[in-house]
Amino acid sequence: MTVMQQSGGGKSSGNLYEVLDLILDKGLVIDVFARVSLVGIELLTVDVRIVVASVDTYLRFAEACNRLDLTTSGGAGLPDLVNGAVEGGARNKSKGALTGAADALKDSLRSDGEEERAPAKTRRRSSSSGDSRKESE
Amino acid sequence: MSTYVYGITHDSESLDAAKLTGVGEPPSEVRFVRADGLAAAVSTTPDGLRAKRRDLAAHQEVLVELAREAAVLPMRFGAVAPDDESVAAELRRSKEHYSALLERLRDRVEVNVKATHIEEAALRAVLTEDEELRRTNERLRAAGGGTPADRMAFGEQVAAALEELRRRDADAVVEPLSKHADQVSMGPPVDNCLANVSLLIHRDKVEELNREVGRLQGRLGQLMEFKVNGPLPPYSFVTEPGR
Amino acid sequence: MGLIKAILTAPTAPIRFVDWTARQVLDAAEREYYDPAAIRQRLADLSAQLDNGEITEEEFDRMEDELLDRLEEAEEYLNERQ
Repeated sequence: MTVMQQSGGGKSSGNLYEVLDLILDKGLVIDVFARVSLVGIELLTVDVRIVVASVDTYLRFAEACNRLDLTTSGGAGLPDLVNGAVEGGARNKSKGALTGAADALKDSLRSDGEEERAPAKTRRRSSSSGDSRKESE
Repeated sequence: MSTYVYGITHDSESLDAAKLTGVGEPPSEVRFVRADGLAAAVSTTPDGLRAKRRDLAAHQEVLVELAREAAVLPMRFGAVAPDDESVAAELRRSKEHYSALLERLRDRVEVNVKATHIEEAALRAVLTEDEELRRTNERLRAAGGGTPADRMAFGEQVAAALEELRRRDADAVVEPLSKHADQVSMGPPVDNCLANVSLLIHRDKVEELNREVGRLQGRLGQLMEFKVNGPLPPYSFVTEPGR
Repeated sequence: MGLIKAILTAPTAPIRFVDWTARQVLDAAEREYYDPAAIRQRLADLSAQLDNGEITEEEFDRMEDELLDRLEEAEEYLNERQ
């Protein structure tokens, strides 16, 4: 008897989007069957980086490094981080359509160097998604 | 009306379609197409089917429910056949392949682990390790951030260093996990993860694997995040019949 | 990186540089709007909001359709750019 239950318990399909690449791109594809014409569906999992121009990604990295204070961290190798919340400088929360990228470049064009901090989405701490996952010993 | 196909399993009396709710709104009824000892869970394809959450969830729940009883070969979401008869014909045509696959996957489940660097920690790591990168960062900081062109070039170097860090750290994740698996399938780097690894493991080993992830978390949790999903239908471990 | 070279070798006159960059910004913003990863993240966020009751099923359904429609536009947008 194969006991299966979604990790994270119950019907919460919160984890569904974490395994979208399996549901949409793996699984059996039988040639004599067709596929419902799900327009745009391939895009849901494809990772082609048409994406935010590398302009923004690079500028964001540069700005994040600029703000990093390395004196508090240890030597080479795995940095022993300042304890307490690891404020994840996660990728820019995707703002309104026309502001996200514009802000990033606008910040950079500002020569006086003081830039307002982009609102960083606090990244989930290093916990696995399976809420029902038992704590590590 | 075409036939929506969820997956293939062994034909058995205990198959109970009443418990299953299918894709579509209102949810379609699930039925079984039976042939040569195999059974395909199907329903009538609803109009306007899209990759909506409720339909993705319905597709998966049918598979998870069936897998409580026996091994199931999951179809990719969105597979449709012209009609039930063509499904039965396919079951008959590739009977050996599907039966052998079901046998190999018996009591096996898929667990997917995605490891992603915590950005700030990864930036710290590359700047700490790369002397030259650190000097450039200091230089730009002293110059009040430098020109956009400088920033762009520096950002590109940082991106390359992060990519290298991902490649390097992937082994530290995949290797200890693979020890528990019959088979391993590496998925695409979704959302910039450094490892997207699917593991085919015996269902009795799910806890053991979770403990391994716990150990990894203990060791690497400052640098990366782990997303564990499973037990899941073995999406990454089914193969099409050779024609 | 073609893009980087393009920006670095942009016309030297500062005014034209800014104008040229501004056009790039819109292009970039347009790309973010159609970015599949951003749309996927948005869907996941909405799904979490639905799970913890911040939005209703109907609201989720409507916004989900909008995002999936945007994906369809993105496919055309992508095909034009290729």
